[in-house]
Amino acid sequence: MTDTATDKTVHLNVKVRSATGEEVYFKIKKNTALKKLMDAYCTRENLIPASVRFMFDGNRLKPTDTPEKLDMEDGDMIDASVEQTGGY
Amino acid sequence: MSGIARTRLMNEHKAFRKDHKVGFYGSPEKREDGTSDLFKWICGIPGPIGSIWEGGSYRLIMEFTEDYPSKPPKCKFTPTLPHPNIYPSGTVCLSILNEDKDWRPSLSVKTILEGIQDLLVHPNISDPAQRAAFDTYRDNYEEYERTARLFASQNPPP
Repeated sequence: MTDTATDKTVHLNVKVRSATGEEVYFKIKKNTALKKLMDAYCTRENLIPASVRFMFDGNRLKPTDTPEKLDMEDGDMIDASVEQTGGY
Repeated sequence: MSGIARTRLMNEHKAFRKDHKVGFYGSPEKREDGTSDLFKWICGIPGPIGSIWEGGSYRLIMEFTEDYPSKPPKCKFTPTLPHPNIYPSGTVCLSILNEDKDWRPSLSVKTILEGIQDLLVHPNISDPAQRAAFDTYRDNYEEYERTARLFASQNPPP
């Protein structure tokens, strides 16, 4: 097995897209909790983690989810949006 | 033969996860046992920016048969929308969803959802499906707009 083949089984590339359409790419491990990706995105975009909603395949991401659990594939997209609360 | 619809829907699901417009979502419904029903998708359409529907996210159920993609899916808003071309049941009345009119097998979940989003801002008043919304749209546009904006605020993104 080549290094690339091993890499494919352990890692995958996903993108996070903001509500305004900017895309940020991440290489993540299939069995690492997505909290790491969520935190990294927030740090990079200067956002407060509690204010950001991450959606994948119709569901809201939980920090404890892993790509493996969600059957994520190479090239999949996660949508990020900043929560807003009406009435203030 | 029944494998055609299933394979096509599996491929569409893969493709949709990689590529869809901002604010849209769509995936096969999850059953309680964790498996999913490829023939019933839970989708969402964002109100177009700058329109009276802006700010809302409208939940829509898409139901496919084994005849897909020869025949279109049935598309139904839940709850229904106060719009002239949406039936009180929530069913969307649109030519591309009618196999005797403009349906083409090359359409997909992604393009259907985009087509329905377009319908939100371009109602066809020559073929109304819902009396109340049709009457207010024609006779009292201000009231129609007010109703739409209120509906948008009551249906925020999930």
